[in-house]
Amino acid sequence: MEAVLAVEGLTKIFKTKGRADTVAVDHVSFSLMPGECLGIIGESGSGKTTLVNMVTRLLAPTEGCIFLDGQEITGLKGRELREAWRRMQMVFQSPAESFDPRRTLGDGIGESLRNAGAGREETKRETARLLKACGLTPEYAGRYPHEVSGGQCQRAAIARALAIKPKLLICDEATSSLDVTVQQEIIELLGRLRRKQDGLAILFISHDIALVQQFCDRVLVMYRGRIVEQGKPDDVIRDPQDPYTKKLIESIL
Amino acid sequence: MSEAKIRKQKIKKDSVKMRLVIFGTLALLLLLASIFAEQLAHCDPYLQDLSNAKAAPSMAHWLGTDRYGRDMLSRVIAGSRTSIYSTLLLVAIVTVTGTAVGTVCGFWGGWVDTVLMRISDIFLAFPGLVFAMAVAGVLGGGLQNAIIALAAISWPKYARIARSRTLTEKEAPYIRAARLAGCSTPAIILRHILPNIIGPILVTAMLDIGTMMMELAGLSFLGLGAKPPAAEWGSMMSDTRSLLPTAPWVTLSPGVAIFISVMIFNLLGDTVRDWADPKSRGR
Repeated sequence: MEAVLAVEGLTKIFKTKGRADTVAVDHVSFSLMPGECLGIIGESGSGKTTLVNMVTRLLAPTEGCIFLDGQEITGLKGRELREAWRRMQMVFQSPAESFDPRRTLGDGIGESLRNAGAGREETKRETARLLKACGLTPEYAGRYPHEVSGGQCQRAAIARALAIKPKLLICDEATSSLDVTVQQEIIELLGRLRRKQDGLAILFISHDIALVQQFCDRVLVMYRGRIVEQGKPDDVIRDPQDPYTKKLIESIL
Repeated sequence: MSEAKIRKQKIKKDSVKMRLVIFGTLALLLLLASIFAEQLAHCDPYLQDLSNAKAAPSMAHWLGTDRYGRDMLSRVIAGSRTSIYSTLLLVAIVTVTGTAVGTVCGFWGGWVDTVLMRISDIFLAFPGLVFAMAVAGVLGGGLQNAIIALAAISWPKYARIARSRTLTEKEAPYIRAARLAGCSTPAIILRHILPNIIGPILVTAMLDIGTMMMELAGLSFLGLGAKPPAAEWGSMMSDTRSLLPTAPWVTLSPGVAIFISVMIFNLLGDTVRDWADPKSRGR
């Protein structure tokens, strides 16, 4: 079986004049199979978000290759890149800010469909269906981002990400800004959607090791831009090898 | 929040809305007056009647007549077309060009940004009206050249606002979400960035209507704008300023017209600013 996402030797170096270069991500390689859920954990500043931004091509990598569905997308531009984005969607950390404040949630959810050529009626129907699948009522399509709670907004963001049926869903700290009970609901929703849409691979970025253990099939531990450990969440937690992972797990227990 | 406080906020919100309606209506009346100037003016503004020159305000001529016996009320109304129409045209030109340049600079950055912003710096470095006089002087008199001159000195302000707002908005998560949704760059600028940056720009434009009207009138007063006999408030004041001691109504009526319209547009601008401020709007 071919990997949905494969990353080889991905590196990002931030150059600042007059200061030493910052190596944000240092030769990271991993792959993700269809239907798999891969967690990436690490403290803030460990390069998780930079890694994700490179994978989604919102940030240009310094070095390395990204393969989506076997196709190299590292150098794609314009129309081809937009094609690639149809197979790869993202849920952002701050739900309210990830929606245009001047447009309704429905507009945001339907945008990718309309860009893909769907008609007005079709988009409306599909938006209603997506909202329902994400535990909201179709009325939410007419609301503005500041009119709904963080949890509801994140549900809408998940609906938006799934609108064009991507093969890869990236959740960048998607639950971090929500409170614990809402976090749990969102995780349950993601699990349900994953079972419903066969073969949806999820890249789950978090700093919460307990969430990752509950939700992911495999976990990577990042520290200072490098992957220091990987394996099944239970194994990593029970028997950490790297000193940083040990410290991370001790800090929770 | 206590109930009293909520009520107080509601009253404040309502009063902003009320002011918006009042000043909006007044501005609309001015606009209508300038559009239907020919129908409103009861005499021909260019018809001379030397036997009735410098007549004081009376029932036949509400604002008196000028030194050629032309009816002042008709001339002021006819002048509103030139003054208001050219002011609005000027503000529209400046807003559109400034916003376009600023958004492009903010979005693409790089050398485009550097070149265009340095050009705008050059324009900003000159004292405004003096530069406009120089431009109008080089191009020759005439209303059209006065508009060009004022547009040349006024666009950088709008470019700066648009640029700084674009810089903050383009990094927002919703722009990245729009990219992932497959929007092309022009679509992102038109659909997402412009609606989010246009508020403060429109407010600046509203506040500028008054200033621009004054500056256009000023250029006309200096003889670089509308040419006589065309009825334009600034040039009307300039032509007749020697009459101030003997027939003050001839100088004062266009002056009062400028004063009133500038004030209405300034107050409207203030109100639009209050209304556009999200803190004063119900969340």
